[in-house]
Amino acid sequence: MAYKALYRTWRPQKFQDIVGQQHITRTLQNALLQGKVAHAYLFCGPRGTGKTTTAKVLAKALNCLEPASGEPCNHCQNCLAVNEGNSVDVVEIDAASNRGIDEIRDLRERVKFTPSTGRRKVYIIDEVHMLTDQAFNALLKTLEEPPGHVVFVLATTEAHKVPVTILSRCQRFDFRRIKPAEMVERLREVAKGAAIEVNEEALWLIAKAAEGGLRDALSILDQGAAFAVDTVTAGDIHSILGTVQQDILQSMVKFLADGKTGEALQLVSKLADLGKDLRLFTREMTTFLRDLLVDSIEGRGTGEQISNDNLFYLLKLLVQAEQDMKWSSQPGLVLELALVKASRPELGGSLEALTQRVAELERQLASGTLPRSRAPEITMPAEPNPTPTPPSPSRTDPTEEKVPVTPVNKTIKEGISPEKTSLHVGGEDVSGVVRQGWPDLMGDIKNGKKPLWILLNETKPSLEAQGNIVTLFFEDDFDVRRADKPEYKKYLEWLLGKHFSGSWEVRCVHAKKPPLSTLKPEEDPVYTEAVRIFGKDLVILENDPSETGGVK
Amino acid sequence: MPRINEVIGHREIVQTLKNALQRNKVAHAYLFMGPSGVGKQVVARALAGALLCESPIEGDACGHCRSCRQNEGGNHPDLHIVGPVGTSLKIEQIRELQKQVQYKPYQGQRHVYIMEKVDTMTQEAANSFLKTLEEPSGQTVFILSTDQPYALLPTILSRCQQCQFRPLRNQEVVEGLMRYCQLDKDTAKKLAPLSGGSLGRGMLLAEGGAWPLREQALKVSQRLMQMDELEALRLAEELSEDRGQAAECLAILLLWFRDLLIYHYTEDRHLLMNQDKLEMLLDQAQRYRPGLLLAIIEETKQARERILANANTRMTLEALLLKIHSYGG
Repeated sequence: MAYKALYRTWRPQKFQDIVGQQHITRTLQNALLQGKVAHAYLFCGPRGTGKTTTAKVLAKALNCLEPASGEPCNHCQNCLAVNEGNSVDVVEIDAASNRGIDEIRDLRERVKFTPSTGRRKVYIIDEVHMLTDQAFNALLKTLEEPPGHVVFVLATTEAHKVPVTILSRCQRFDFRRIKPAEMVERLREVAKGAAIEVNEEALWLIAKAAEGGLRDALSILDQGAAFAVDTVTAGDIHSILGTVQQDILQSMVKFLADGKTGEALQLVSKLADLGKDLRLFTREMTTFLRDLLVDSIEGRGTGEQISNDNLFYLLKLLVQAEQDMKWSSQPGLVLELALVKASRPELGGSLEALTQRVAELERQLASGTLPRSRAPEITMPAEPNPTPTPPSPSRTDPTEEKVPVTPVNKTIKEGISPEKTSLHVGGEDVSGVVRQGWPDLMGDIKNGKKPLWILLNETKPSLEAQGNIVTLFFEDDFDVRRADKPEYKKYLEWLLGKHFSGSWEVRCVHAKKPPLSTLKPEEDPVYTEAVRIFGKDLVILENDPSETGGVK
Repeated sequence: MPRINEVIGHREIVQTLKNALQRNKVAHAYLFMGPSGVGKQVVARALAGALLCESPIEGDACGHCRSCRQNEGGNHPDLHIVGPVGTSLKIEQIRELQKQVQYKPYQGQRHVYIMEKVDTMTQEAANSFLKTLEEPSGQTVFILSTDQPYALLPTILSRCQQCQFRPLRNQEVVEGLMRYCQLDKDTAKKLAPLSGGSLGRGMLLAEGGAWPLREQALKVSQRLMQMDELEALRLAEELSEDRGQAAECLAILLLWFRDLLIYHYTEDRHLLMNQDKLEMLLDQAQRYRPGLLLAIIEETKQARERILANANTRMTLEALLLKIHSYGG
């Protein structure tokens, strides 16, 4: 006789033996006793919690010849047939392998036949979530109103994949994860029955490692029995699972909290040398830290205190590390990184580290200790101003390297066509020359056009000449409008041509402040920007107002 | 065909299997999980050999009987090896398997199935395998192996006896290298830490497959901090010629920077992996701040993952190198 795994030989045969699902077994037993068995059940829940087992027990109880208080007898021929898996009336369908519409059609055909030996025909459809959409839909009508002798039991781990139309036609039972205490009890029973010597601590370890799945637990027990010499001890289970003892976890947490990075790293390498699974170790660390955190929050903290924030930070890092280790090809590296970060919070570019730094900065700001330098290279001029225009590349003018100092705050009112502008912009600054000849010019204006002379004399616009464009800056908008007349401009252009030769263009502009009088050239943002870009040597200040004194 | 007694390392697993064989308590499904190259396949073959042997000695295969010789030649009729076809293990394969399991074994008492890379099973295949895996007929034994157990359905996991293979210890890798690659002890000792506990990788290194790449990678590590943007871009172009090599190169760099970081905190030379380049390592160790190392490692790790996930190799490398450059070049 071949050996059968514990979870197969010890599959419960009665409701009574099913562990941790009393809310379900009681309901079913009562239904059986009162003859109120529904025609469709859906069993869902995580792996190893007893879905298939319950379905089989239910099938037996329905067909048992001598049922006792809702339990199958396990002696009659119907029960035995189910136990051996050759009952005609209990059909177990693997929906994952028979998932198509054809299989369901076949099922619908066969549903019509009455049971041969028992009272009911039970269809156990396992892994029902794997049926295709079409198969589910084909099943709907049969599932809603099957012939009187049919009971469907659908079992799945993933109820969310089952369509709602199926769900609403079934009585749904949710299987819970089995609690460690209940699991330990069952494990003890099984171990005793299978003549396996296990000590108590090992049982608890198994129950914890199984995470609510009894089949997992029995698998581990099986493995432990094969590994151990005679008695299965906690040490055996630790070596099978690759887990570590509590004190190692404790010292690791201490290393991390104290910032002893070196020690922590050495401990990890020691664990790796012992052949421990580092990811499992990380998971154990997270559970351990979680327990510490819960204890600390509830004020049950004992011994050395680690602040909640710190615990939380460690926990977060390690949870992340565990996630990453699942998929990484170098899990050791991931853990080592996490440990370095955990023990040196200031290094990790984490939100926590940033928060700390921000808090520090805020404190400094509040106390006013932060140096508030207004470095010219980063402060932008407060008001919009035309950026210094780079010399056009086509020009070969030797002066093109000198960046002209243009006044700020000029708002060109006149609609000048862009080409025209680009033609002249960047021209040589000849303001000095023009200013020098300005008094003569004014004399001519006084004789030629009196109103213009009065206007210019009253407002004293500051003047700038670039290339062959002369710009007049008026402080008052009204003055601009008075001066900005074609006849005046034509006259001025003609006069300029007369005095300085060549053709000229005159523009009248409204500027809030006289651009050159209030601002020292060294402080002019354009100047500083130019110096920053080209270096001090290349930028030459021309028509320094302190020398020429402006037009005013 | 290896025998169970000849397996290097994995003491717990070997012990469990041997006991199970001797006590006639072999489970019907085993899941071997662990990183690649540590010996999952070797143990699987050894177990299969022992299970099929006609006159086992203390549970282990005898090595002389007809079955053992057939195993040696790879033509035992009852040993089935199922692996991914193309990129995945498909439902058709599982259906075929389910059909086969129904029949009596050809020669011995049982079918033995070795299923490789079960993580590549499609959803459908995995689910349809569940019932067979839980209660196979006769004395069939399934030996599943994977290096990504977390990609498996929990329902598959819980049906198997899970054997977690761990990276081999250094001296075990040394032993393996000496036995299979005929290396002398000193060379083996220098190589072993680089293998990261994987004998397969160690053997690859021993054959010289990965050496030039490593030299290249280490050269990169030296230049990394001095180069300008242009050189970084050129380097990215150079490395990006082959996606696999680029990823491998980043892996080598990761280990290198890991060593620098570890050394910074522990100053313990035995923890380092690049044992053969200690001098160079110690020389570089002074040049990096731990914060910088951490940042570089994170970026490199991420870049490697991206490359493996089919990102544009060259662009990823360029971004990586420029970023490292901006950190402190």
